Amino acid sequence: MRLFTVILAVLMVGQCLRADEKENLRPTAEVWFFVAIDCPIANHYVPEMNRIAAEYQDRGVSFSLIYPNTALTEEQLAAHRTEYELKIDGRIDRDHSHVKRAGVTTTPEVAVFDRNGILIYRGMIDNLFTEFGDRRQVASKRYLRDILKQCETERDIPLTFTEPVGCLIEPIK
Amino acid sequence: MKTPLFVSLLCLSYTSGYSEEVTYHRDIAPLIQNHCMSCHRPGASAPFPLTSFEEVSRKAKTITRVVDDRYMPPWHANHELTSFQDVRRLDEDEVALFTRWVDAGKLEGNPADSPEPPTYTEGWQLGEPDMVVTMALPYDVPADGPDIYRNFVLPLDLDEDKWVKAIELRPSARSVVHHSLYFLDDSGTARKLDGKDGKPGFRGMSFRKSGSLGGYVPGVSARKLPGDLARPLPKGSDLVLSTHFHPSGKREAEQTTVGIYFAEKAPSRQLQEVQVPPGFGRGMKIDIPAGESNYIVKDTFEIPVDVEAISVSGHAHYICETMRMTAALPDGTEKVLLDIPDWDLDWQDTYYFAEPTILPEGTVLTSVISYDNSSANLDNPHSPPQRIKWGRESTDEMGSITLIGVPVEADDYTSLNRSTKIQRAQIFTQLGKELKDTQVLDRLPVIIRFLDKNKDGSLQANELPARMREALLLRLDEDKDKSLNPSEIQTLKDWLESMESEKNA
Repeated sequence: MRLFTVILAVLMVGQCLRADEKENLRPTAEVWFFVAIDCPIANHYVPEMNRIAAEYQDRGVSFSLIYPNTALTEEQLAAHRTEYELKIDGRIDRDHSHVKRAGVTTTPEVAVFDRNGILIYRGMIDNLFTEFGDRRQVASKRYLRDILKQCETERDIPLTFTEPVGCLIEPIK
Repeated sequence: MKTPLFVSLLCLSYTSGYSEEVTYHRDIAPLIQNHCMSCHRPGASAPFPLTSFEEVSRKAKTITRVVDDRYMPPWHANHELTSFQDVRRLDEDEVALFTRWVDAGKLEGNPADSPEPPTYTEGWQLGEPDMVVTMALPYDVPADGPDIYRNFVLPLDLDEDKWVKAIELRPSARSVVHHSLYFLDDSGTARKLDGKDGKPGFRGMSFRKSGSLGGYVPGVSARKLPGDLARPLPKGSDLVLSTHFHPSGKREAEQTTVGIYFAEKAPSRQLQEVQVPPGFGRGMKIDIPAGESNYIVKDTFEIPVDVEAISVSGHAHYICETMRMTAALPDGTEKVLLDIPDWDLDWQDTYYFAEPTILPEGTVLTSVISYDNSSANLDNPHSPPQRIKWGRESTDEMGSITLIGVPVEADDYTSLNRSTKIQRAQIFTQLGKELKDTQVLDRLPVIIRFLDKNKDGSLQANELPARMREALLLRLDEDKDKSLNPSEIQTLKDWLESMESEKNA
């Protein structure tokens, strides 16, 4: 009986450790950038998206580029990635399942999910663009960077939104 | 009785057109072809093509948003107050038609209803130019960062004076070249500045512009000046492209090529630029406190001879909000020559009058330019707002409206030209104050005789007082021979007289 208790205790501790390890391995946040290859505002953000990904992907944040244009071909996507020196993996959202899950309307627009897959932010990367064709010389608010910093120290972050500026996503029929 | 009523209702509904289905090929394609396609086609400046139902349909929501906001097609002048050529703006009915098409599900309709697509000339739009020049080296535009304003010198090495009918600009990286203004420099100053920081071109506007040949804005086709009109291009002048770049997200290298079209002979009437206020507002002591939301610059100019106005354009930087030029005619009527209710530095267009616009002698031009230096102005380059003064950097401010015209009578050119010189000379308020204070006008003939050491009737540079030499030559030495000839001395007298009468008024 004692032996059984010891084995059970060891198994339970092991289980706990594995759960902890799993927790540590799980991304602290998941970021989806909704973009288009021919949207000038989305393209303008390529260097900033690359910079943010380079800064945070080693700190437990995963990044993806999501292309809602269903007419896009893999060849066009590859050519655009090379032309703009994109460093983040991308996928075409053929059924708009990502668009629906994140509730986005625009490219560029970013959706951030916490480690439990719960949406915690949706909207602008920063406030560089004030409206279509109008932009500040330097962004004064960096929404995405702020939320990623918050993810490193806090849990149960309440959902926040900002109004995106860019090319509107056409719904699929 | 019921049938005729039904038929007439049907007819009414048909003629009003409102209850009809809106289709792409019949209703939307003509709008796109007339207002969008010149830029939104392969190889042109816009970021995506709009040449087919599929392409337009895929961007329909975005198009609806930007036409509704009046961001596209780009056109900032009020065309209801002034009639201009080639107005790109959609009217309210056209915007509403597009919205109806999207709301109703973007019906394609019958391709047979679509008008013939326009054809575009490949290569030079105005045919083979008389002269082609290209930037010697490409300029690297980074993938992102603030806008870049850069000047590039293109030596023309002309050994005779020329007259220019048109200029066509061909950027090598269209996605980053937002606009370019064409200046002339006959002093060689721009050449000396070029490349000093290790990159092609130079920043700022610290060279003396000896002339202007217009400019390039995406969406505006190169055009030849009407009739026999042409702009002067004196021998020995360098062309200076003052280019505004928008970083696009990828690294680009721009190496612009320019095509120049010459007139065969001098025009029968010379073009004259009238800038109000002159010198891009340099003499207006522009000094806008941080937080000031309605700072006004106002200046006037009285036209001394009958003038036919050809075009009008404005210049200011980020925090300018509105600009308006009116003409008060001697008969008491007023014409609005330019009204820009929402100034945008990015779209510095030149607007050509659609109808002959005669401004009789005695017409007073008034420019009113407003600025918003508060934090509510999202275009403010400073956060928080800072005091902004007149200056050559884009984060400084300038402000002027330029009318280009020709005297109705060719012989009146000298008088018109002299008036604008006097107007420009008044920028030098400190110099003017000194001359006023010494009541130099009364003593001018004596002073000139005293200064004219070699008694040739002209004042050579070494005969001019050292402290005024540069300013006097800069403003009065029209033929650039480093001396003031009797005609140029007369301009000085006219200027002093105008200041004297202003003082006595």
